[in-house]
Amino acid sequence: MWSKQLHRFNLVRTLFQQGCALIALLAWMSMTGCGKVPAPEFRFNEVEWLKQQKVHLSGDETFPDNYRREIGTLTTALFGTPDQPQFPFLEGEDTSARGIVDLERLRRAAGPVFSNRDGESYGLYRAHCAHCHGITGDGAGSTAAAVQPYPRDFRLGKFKFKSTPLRRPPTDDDLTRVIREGIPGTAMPSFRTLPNEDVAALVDYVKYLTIRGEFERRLLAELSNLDGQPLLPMPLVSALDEGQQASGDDRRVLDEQLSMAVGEWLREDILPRWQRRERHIIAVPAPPPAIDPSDPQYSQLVTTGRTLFYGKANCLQCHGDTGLGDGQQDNYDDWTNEWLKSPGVDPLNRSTFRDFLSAGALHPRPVRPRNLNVPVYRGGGQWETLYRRIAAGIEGTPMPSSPALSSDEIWAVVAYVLSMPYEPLTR
Amino acid sequence: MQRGWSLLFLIVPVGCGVVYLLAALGIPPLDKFWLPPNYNQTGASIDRLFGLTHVVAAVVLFGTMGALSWFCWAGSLRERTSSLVAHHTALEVVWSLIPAAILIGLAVYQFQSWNENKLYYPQWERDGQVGPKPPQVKVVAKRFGWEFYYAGPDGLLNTFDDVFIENLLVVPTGEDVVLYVESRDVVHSFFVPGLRIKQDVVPGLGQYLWFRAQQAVELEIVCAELCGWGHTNMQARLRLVPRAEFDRWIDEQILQHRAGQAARLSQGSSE
Amino acid sequence: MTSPQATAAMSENGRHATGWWQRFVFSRDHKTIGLQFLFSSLIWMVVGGLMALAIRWQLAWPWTEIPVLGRWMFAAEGGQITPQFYNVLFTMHATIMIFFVVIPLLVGAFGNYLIPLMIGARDMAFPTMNMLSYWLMWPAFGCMVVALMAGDQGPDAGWTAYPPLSVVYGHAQDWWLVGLVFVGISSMLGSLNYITTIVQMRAPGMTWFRLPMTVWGLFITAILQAFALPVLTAALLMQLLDRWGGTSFFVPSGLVIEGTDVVTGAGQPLLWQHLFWFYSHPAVYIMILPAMGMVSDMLSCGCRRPLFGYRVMVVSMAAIAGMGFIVWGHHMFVSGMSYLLTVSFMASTMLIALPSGVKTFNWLATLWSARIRWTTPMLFTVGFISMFVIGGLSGVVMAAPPADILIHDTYFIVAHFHYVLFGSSILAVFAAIHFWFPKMFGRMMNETLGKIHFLLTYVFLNGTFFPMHFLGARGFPRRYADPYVVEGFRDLLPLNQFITWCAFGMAAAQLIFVVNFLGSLIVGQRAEQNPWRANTLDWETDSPPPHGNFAACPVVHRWPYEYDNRPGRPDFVPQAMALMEDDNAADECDSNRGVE
Repeated sequence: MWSKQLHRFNLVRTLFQQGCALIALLAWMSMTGCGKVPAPEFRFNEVEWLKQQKVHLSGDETFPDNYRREIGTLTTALFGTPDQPQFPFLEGEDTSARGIVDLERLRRAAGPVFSNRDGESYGLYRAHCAHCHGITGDGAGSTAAAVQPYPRDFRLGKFKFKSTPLRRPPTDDDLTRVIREGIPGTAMPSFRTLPNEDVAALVDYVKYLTIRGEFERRLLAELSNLDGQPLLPMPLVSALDEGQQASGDDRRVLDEQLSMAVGEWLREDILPRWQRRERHIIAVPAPPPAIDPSDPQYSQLVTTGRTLFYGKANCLQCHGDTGLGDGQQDNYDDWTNEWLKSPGVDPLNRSTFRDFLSAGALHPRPVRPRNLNVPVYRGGGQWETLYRRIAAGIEGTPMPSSPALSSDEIWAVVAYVLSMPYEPLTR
Repeated sequence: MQRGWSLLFLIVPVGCGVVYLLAALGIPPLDKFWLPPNYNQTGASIDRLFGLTHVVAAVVLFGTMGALSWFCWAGSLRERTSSLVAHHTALEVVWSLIPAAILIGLAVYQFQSWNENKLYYPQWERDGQVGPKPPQVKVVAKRFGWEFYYAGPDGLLNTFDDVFIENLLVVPTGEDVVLYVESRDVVHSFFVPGLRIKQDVVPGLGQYLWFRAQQAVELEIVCAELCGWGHTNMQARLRLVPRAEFDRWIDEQILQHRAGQAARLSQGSSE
Repeated sequence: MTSPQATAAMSENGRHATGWWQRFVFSRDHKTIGLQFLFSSLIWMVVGGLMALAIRWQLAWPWTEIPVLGRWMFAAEGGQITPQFYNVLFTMHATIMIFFVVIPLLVGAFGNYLIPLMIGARDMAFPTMNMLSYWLMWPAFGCMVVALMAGDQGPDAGWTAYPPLSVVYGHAQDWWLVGLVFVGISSMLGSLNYITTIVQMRAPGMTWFRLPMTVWGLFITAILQAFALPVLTAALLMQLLDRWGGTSFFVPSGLVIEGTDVVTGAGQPLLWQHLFWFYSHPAVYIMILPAMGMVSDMLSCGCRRPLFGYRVMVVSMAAIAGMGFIVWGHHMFVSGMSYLLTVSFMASTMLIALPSGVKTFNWLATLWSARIRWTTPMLFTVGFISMFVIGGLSGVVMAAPPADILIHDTYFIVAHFHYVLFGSSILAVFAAIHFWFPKMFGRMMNETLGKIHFLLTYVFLNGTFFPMHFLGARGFPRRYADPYVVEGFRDLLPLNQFITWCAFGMAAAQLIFVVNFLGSLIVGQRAEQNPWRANTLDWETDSPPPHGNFAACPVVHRWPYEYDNRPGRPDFVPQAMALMEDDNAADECDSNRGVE
């Protein structure tokens, strides 16, 4: 017999069970969610680690895992953590690195986001940059994969739009300009609305992340020479591990030992490049008067530039016959080539580099030559900046420097390039 | 206890309404919770309209909530004498007609502001002829920023000597400023609270925007239509300056952008 | 009145499947389906509500470690959510609350449960289709869970999903679209069922103007759904085709996406907006008309007097529904639509405020000279009216295009629709759950807990949503992960923190409801057949009603709002009660009592 009592009872019991399950789920969620999240850490450069193994070791051999720990300990001892940055100023040396970054600015840019009572913002890097560039500055933030081109990985120490020649770090003005103006045609926005001191703090933090990344890569490059020996004297490593909270004299002794052990790499390879960068700014000679469109010689100059574009300067190889950027399409930039050129990796065969992808590398995408028919110039559309692009090339990309061109020829190419978006379709 | 509920229905909505009125009247510390200062000449009519509808809304709110809680209060006391009246034609006609009149009144009243702000396109006189004013600045919205193109020395937009600057718009005060807005990728919205202008920027649909600022001031341009993860960061600065200063600024930009820069560089590199 | 013999007789008529699965899971009984809708919606409401709290957290303490979520998903970032994930949060909050909570609660749960009971039918016209309409929600649930699994790569184009953003970006957007197509089919089946049932299966004597307001509300809603939903479903499929089929309905040519030229056909982004709002504006009424209907019934019952202006109320509802189809453009005042077209949408929008206003006045007149019993449903009902007034008035402010220039896409809009959707629809749902709980489960909900729940919800709801008007008046935009990067909005942080505290208070108050609801299922006081002394037919059968609802088909003799204030008599006169000699229900149902 069909009983309504039974109907109700079963229904109620079923629903009750559902409710209990829900409450249990909520309780579990709240329990696992309680407590502080550990402070974020800099991500180890797994890609470089993998690459060094592929280059220097054979088959399935790997470096001993304690290297990884030693490198972590060492970089943390010298550079601190994302919440508490430090910088190896090499105090007391004749090459003190004081001028490169300012610790106070680093502290404003680092750490979690908040504002103090005076309205000063802290944690600037995480508020504005980390989404794309990642907390480590490895160009692998949460939005990175969706962005074309990929956000910059600072750790290679290479910057595209700068006033210094290839293999020289950019000046502070260059970095400031990129942050303030953005990079048109990419996902890098302009942060013009930020106060100047915030931008300055971010510039210092970018330099800090870059130098930290360069140093880490330097250590990784050293591993193949060690032959299984520890990177540092073991007592120093354990002292560093324990000595994070050390203060006063202990700390100073530790720093001295550290400076002895790794100082030369910093002192001789990495920091001096940053200290001397202002000396290498490329001088831009005065442009010919004909570059001004109102000048009677203007069309003459443009024609010269056009001849060079399709001739001596060989721009068309990449930028294409019509400047649409449809020339050579199978180049990769240095940030990708860095690991893509490892032995056994074929850019067209995903299975040969799957281990790199799981180590954190982004899927390789060929570099696209600029479409010069659109008046958007990533490094800025001024005569001066275009001159530098052509004269010195763009670091990290297939765009070469052009030592073969005279400065007048370069100016002619600049004039032609600037006129391209407005060039009649047939000429 | 039963009657207490009717007080709740009085205190909470009317309390909200009173706080709102205080904000609207600019009583500190609530004065910052109302419209931001307006710098656009035609924007004043928007503020007036906003204020007027709020006056109407406040009257209706206080009236209905007062009646509601009074009826509730009385209804809580009543024993067995509830009215059985279920309709009253005259009353129903009255309370349909009065709101209808108010709503139609508002509809007619707002038309003037809409006309002033959107239907009137700025005119200018050139060569003795009056015609629509061409845009002075081309605004390109993109993920996540604003590009502003000014006419270069030739005085025309969309030519090769355009001056480009990102996230900074400088325009003169005291005259109609026409902007041409377009989008490069997704739908954005050009929103300047201080000028009472907002216009969705739809890709493939170029549009015109205009305003006339009265006062030199620096404002913020924000994006008001979801455009992706960087929506928040899509802001730019708007600097309203007197005409003379604007001319100086634009000349400086042109110089900096072109010849003047080269001149400066040649001085610099001669050391 | 059901006798045990009648129940037994009904169980033998062979219409009822006996297996456990058929009875409780794949049941074709409208009551079980209604309860299934009720429970799945309430569970989704928890999910959507927690998302709202996450959104509020980010707005009050931007980029700080967010509880639970931060540890789960963003440990590497120190518990700070990413801006895309914020977009996912508000997209999914809206999607869940609209499509999985408010519409299924009002239309799915109460529509299913109440329509046959109130019109005196044994079940819906198409029981199998009815069952399908529920089980088609599950593929939709599945799609949304998959979309949520994508974490910060989930659907992040807002619930309005404006192209090109929604077409060019986002992988999980496909799951979102497919999920909503399923919701659309489900609602379509449901609404056809409701229309047929109400037209064809009314009990003898149940003329159109003897239908309770609840049924009227649901009937008009079903018609709205039947006409508006196909447009949305078509638009969703078009967007899917744009994403995968190489079409370009909505994507114009010449887009530059991340520095790369994307040349597609000559689509029109505004087309989507028109199609979307052609459904989604009527959807606003889908989310309020059933609530208005239920509130009218509960109000009359709580006031112990006839509903004032019954016919005007019905006509107003029909007017709202009809005009609801020609006002969608007010969502697009600044979209780039023609400025003259804007004017016509302004006019229709102003006019649609009129029937809503008339309804409000009728409710007030019902309260006039009432004999109020402050039960929990009555509290929520009056709460509904007051919140609806605030939500409606802010709607009038926005109806003027010049004012909309300032407040479009700001928190003023957020305040407005939360007053209507939470302050009105959800309060009505709470009222209805308290009111029909005895009918559904045969037990009463606890009145004390219910009143505490109401008090806290009512206070915190105003604390949460009212200050949003201030934010909006300042031009504070919606959908900003971190509005404080804009210098002009920095001083609004303390107000946002206040709102967030109130939101947490409101969430905590809902725990009382959860306890009351689950507890009353088990230990609630047994309910009698008609605990509220209400008139409609649903109270003429057992609590809970048996399969087939009524032992004998009820016959309706009068309209649903007949009350009696003569001493020595029950103060209410059920619809099924035969006319008596001294009955002053005049002649027929149709001439409702009025002042001559």
